[in-house]
Amino acid sequence: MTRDRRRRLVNRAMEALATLAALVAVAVLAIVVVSVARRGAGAVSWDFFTKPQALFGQPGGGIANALVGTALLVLLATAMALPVGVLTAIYLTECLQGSRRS
Amino acid sequence: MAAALACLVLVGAIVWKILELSGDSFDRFGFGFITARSWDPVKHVFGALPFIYGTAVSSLVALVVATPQAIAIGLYLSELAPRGVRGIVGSLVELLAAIPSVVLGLWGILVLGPFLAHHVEPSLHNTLGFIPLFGDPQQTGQGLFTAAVILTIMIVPIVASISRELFLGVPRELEEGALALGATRWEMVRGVILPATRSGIAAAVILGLGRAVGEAIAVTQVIGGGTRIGWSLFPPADTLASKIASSYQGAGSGLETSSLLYLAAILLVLGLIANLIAQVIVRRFDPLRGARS
Repeated sequence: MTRDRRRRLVNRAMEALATLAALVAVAVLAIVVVSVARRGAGAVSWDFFTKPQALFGQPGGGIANALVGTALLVLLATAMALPVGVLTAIYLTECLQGSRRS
Repeated sequence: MAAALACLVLVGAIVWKILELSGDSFDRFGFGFITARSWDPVKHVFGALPFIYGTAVSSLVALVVATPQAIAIGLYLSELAPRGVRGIVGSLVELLAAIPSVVLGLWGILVLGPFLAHHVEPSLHNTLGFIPLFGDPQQTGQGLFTAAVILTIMIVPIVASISRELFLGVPRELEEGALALGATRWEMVRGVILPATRSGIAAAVILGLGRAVGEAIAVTQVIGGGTRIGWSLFPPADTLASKIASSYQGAGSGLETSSLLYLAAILLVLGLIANLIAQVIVRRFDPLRGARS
């Protein structure tokens, strides 16, 4: 009887720990997102997204150049990686018949 | 086939170039570089040991904290969570992996570092100070410990989602068999699920290790920079990756650049070894493999 109770208690404790672990991960995510959003909220405006970076020392300006740069970078990288990646995958699955695939 | 070859050629070219460029430093310091403790651009004396130490400590601490938590999350998501919660929590955990590392690093500087420095480190020092790992707290929050926490946050979602998939892949009949014999859910997990997936878990952990060892930017942002080697986890340090990221732009001499590339070569070898070990583990020790294929 006591052995049975102990088994059930251990089971309950482990279930609680697993749930707690998941909660902690979600909480960390929430903390990161909320604190970044709170600190950044003050700077967000229409100008922030549409104006290029101000000259050094001048107030104002935005991140338009960074946005465009990111978009171009992603576009170029995808354009180069997609054909190579797909072709490699085709080669690995179709042309290597009989050898060990992992 | 040309595309596949291109990938191999690219990897080869990168490795070759790194080795070639680190040649100067290798000629000068040889393998002694790995165990030399000083990094002094003024005197042209360079050594890798502080960075190897920083890499090892930050990744190991992160791994020790992250592994149990990630496995627990995997178990929760695959066995415990109610159907509705499962999808939500699962995708939230994966979102954690989607945070760009620069953002995480910035958060580490602004929020996590000060919090650790003013609350966590003093209390750890006061309660567990007799263990040399928990030395005097830092004022700035920049240090090895902060980097390890950031790395933990980065590894957990990866290992958790891999282990969830592994746990879901355990055959239903095995689990139900254990439950039918009167095992509690935890006994079923320990007796059936964990043994059946242990090779996969090991591989997932090594994948996480690879991520932790190679992570550059977030670590550079929070680790502070320094070449101290000692027991305490709190002071600033540097990892191989963070040293390369923070010093390459300002490297003063050809020898320093070459030494940084030597660090890169060490990092590359470590990454290769981790990958090979993971593959060997998956091939050799997978008890379900025979049943599956």
